[in-house]
Amino acid sequence: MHDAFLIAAYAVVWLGVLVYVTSLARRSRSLEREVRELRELLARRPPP
Amino acid sequence: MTETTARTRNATDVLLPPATIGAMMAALYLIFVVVPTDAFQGPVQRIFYVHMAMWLATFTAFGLVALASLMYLWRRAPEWDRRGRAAAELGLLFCTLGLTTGSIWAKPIWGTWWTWDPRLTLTLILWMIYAAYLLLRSLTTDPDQGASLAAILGVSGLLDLYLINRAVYWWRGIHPAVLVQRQGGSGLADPLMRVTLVVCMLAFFLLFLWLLRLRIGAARLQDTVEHLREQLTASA
Amino acid sequence: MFALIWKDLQIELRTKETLASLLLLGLLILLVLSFAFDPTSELRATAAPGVIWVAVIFAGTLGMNRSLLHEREHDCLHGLLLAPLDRGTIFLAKTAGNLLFMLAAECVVVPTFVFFFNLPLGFTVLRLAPVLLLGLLGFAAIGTLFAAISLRTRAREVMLPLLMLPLAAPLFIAAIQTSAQLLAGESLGAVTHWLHLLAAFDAVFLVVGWLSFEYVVEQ
Repeated sequence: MHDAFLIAAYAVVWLGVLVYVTSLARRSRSLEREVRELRELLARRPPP
Repeated sequence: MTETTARTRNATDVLLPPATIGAMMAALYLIFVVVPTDAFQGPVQRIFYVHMAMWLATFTAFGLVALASLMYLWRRAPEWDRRGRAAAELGLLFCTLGLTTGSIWAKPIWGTWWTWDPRLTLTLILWMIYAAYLLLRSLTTDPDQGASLAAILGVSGLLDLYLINRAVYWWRGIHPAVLVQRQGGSGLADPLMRVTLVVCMLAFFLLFLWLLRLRIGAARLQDTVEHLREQLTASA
Repeated sequence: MFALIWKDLQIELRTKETLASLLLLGLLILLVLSFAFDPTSELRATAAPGVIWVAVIFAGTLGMNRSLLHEREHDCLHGLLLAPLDRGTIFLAKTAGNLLFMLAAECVVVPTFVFFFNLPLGFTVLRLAPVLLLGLLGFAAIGTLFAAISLRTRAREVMLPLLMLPLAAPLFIAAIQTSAQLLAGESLGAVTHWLHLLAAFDAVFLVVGWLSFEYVVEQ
């Protein structure tokens, strides 16, 4: 029954890392998109 | 304007992912297949390897936050701020995982999820300081100002560390009955155990470095977005 | 610097805002905590030092929030910054002001605490005085620094305790432990290490605040 603790500990670690990586990937993707959109907006606007 | 989004691919970026994955595989193989089961604690002792690995990453991260805070206040370079931000977030992640794995280990071995042992208390206080650091970052309106305010908190945290350490040790020292034996030197009799511990720590340290670089990259993007927004409003 | 402290004191004497809220809040927390720890039981003697410090800490946190918010509401901080003054001096003056207010409030809260918890008056006051002085000095320093920082965020009132309380953990541990031992009849000699820790904490945060206040208030 102590094996349950062992499994739980490693599951928590991998789950935690996975959740963090997913959220980081999502954040990066949306930031990249935002950079692209803003660049386009800037390019379309004539320089003052 | 410098091209901040262009990813500079250097040797570290190329080598880090395969090195991390390789080391991680080796660590898992050692932990679950090779290393002998501890005679007293049974299979639960295997948690110890990953637990120690979490602490190495956590303390490196928090050391980095302090260093980055000092450097930011001194040099005012946004890159130092990004490093601090990234390290604080990762430190908090690994600290949380370290506390959780420690707790899961403590339940079958000590019979309780939590004790107010000095080391645990110290870590909990550290966790709170760095959670406050990240909260401060997200709640400031002006990013430059947020950077210096958070840096002050980062430096204070470092200076405070010694005092917190003394305080919790004296505080719990009054009740010496709580616990004396800790994992430390007692468990790792077998040389294979020591090898496993080193490999596991290395694997998670590499993972930490990899994630740190990714997070700094994301922080750079964030700053670019900020910068572009300013340009847009200025030209409007 | 003394002019600055004097200015704060005069404002306070006119409005009595901070002092009144510090005082009432301290008393209210004492009352609430008496509900938690049955003040007639034996438990009260062990709970007493914790109770007084919780009252001091939470009332003080709110009081310091007020004192810096006050500067902002009336745009006084802006005026202060225009004056040819070292930012560190402003920090020290503000800290001194906050310390004085808290000490003044404690002059009422501590006797009330003694009264509610049925402790010997002279003995308790005499023994708490050095700890309160050292503890409140550090508390005023860290509180002033972080109140100024939290003013710059979106969630001003909540930020101060969130930022300050974990960093002030050694101060609280030391203050509560020292008070408990002194009230239990130990001599000052038995708690010198704690008093040194409190003094070190005071020194660290007075210096950090003095040096970094410039970064906190810059526009």
